[in-house]
Amino acid sequence: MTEQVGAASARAVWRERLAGIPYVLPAVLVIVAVMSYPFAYSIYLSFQGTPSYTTETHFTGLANYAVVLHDSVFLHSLITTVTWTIGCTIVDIVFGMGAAIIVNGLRWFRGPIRAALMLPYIVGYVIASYAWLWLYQAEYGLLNQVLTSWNIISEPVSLLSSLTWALPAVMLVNIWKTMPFAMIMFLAGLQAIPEQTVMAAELDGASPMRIFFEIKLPYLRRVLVITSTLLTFQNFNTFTIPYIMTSGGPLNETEIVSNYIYNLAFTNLNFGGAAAASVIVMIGLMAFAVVYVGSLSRRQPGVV
Amino acid sequence: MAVSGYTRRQALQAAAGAAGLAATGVWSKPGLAAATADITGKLVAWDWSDAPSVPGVEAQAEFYTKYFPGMYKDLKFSSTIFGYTDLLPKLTVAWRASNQPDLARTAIQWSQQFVGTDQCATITEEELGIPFKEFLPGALLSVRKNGAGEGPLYGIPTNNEVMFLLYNKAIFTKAGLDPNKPPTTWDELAAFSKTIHDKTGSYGYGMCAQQNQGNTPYRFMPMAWAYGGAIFDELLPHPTWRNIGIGNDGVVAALALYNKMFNIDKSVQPSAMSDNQTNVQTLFLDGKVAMCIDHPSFPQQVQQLKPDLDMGGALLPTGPVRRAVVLGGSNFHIRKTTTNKPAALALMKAYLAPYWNARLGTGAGSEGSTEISRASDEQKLLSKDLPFNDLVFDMLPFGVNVPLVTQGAQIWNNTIPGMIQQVLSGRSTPKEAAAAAASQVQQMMAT
Repeated sequence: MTEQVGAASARAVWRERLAGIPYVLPAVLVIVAVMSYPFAYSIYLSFQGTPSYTTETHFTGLANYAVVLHDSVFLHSLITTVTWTIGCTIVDIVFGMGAAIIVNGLRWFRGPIRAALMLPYIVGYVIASYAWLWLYQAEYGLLNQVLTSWNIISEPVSLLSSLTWALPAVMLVNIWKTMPFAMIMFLAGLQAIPEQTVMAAELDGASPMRIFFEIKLPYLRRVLVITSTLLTFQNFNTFTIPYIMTSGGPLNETEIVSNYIYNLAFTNLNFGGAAAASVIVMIGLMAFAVVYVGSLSRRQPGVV
Repeated sequence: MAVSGYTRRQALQAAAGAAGLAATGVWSKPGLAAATADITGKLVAWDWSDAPSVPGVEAQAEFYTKYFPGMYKDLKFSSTIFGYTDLLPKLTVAWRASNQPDLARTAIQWSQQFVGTDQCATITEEELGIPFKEFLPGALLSVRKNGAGEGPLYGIPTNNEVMFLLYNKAIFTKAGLDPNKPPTTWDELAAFSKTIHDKTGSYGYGMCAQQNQGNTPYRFMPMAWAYGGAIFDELLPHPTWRNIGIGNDGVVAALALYNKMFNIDKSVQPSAMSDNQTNVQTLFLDGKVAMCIDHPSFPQQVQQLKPDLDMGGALLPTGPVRRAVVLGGSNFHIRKTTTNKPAALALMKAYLAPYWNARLGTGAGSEGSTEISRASDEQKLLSKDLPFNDLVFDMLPFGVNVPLVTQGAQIWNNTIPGMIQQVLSGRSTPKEAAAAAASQVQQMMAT
């Protein structure tokens, strides 16, 4: 009898799973159709020699991988990209969550304030890059004007020409642009927390910090996983902001891996090398996704 | 004349002949009309355009949407105008896949990546109907394989340009300099720049030194050539593009002068390492920078945007060895695998008719590519509205080509700006940076 119930239950689970397939099949087919050929072709190209003086290609085995992995500019761009991704994602998460908590706690003007905080996310990347370019501009940018008029600096500073400050300055623009996404995700997560749970904790005398860490944060775990994963990929694949603001300079200090791959393909005409670099990056990102999502999405006992 | 039966008079007559189309109600601008009955099938053309603010770009839209389609009604014609930076990657991918367009106009420094890789059809004088000696010899080098002095042409120059020096007369006066005496040598330019910064607080010279940016060598190489420097042997009448010259004393001297202006005198804007042409233009318009090097179209923009800016123009300064300037412009190329070469040639001919060549060249911030168009009435009419256009004609003989090798874009956009940034950032001495650049070029050419 127990076995019969178990078998029926298993069949029900499978029926439920199979029932979902028709709903996602069109989307899956479109994704496969659009992505499979370029994906496969990139892998194929990464094993091909594509010299700049001809359009002919020839099999070169792992040569492209060896060349790319020995290229100091690629290795530097990888380090810059990791710094960029970790830095931007952490700040996005921390400030996004902070902003979400503040906005969620507002009694008045929550809508207009939320809309105002969302503005950077709506602005296009190109527009944002140019706007910040002029803000940073040494000779008449707002930042230098303010710092000079307050006597904080004696003469204009060109952040984007500085080997030390160019990367943080460009990262700040990216954070400004992506942080609202984190905020809106966390805001949605916070609004989904049952009010009675929080109220019960308050009645029991729990402090706001304890409520946050013991109740709200566990509820936000799934949102945190999704948001941080999406932001990690988004930040890792950024192209426009450094391309427009610094073109990767000064001296490759702001050259992230997507800019490197673009230059390798379209300036140096080394399509095989660019494909190899793309595959290396893809493998890295896939490994990250498996480890990161796996570790963060493990359910803990007693936690939703 | 090399082509039998072609004379200037006949060319003009042919151009005027197209006006007969007006009688049939077709668009009536004069051009070198091919026989309309022969031009059928399908033709796809790609072109690029500068910013919409550049005066005269409307001529391009008129040509592609009204004039040329009006000439050949049986031709299924489509054209796309890309932004300057958009065209190259798209065309690179499209032509490597042997795909559309049938013909494309590319900036002169991009030509070799298509010519050198055998992606372009040859074009003969007979096919074009215009003697090749109408074009500047330097411009023809850019459409021959590996920039050779002789051999078949794999494209046709559409427009050519050279830059010149612009300066703000009011800042010169404020600095105690004679506003009618611009610097004549690069050393003098550096000295003027220092005087201006010391006495007025404005920056003397607008330096472009952004990484991965073609604008950067466009301003630096004239100075390097003037000091006797070179990238290869491009200063020879028949360069081989094999002898690497970038590590030589002339380049080192030019780098040292850049270093002096940026790091020692601090007479150029501090943002130079992240500034491109557009940034410097804005600084010049705002009166923050007293001198800059720019395209022929820029003074007209200045007149429109800042009519009260008292601007002077001058030839690019000379150096101890020579006066030089980058020979800019664009070329038309026909895809080797096109199925409609006659239609592509018809478009080229229409484009090169003196009236259109002058208008479209001016619209692209240049001059027409043929001698006949540069001497045409249309050009004279257009030149009236182009401040300092006489300087362009005076500078054209000093034009020197960009590296005419398939690795040219890499050298131009990466190696030279990288070399300059090494010096300006203090990471390398001029000699070290030039030697490293020479080594990079050597490696590129070896692979």
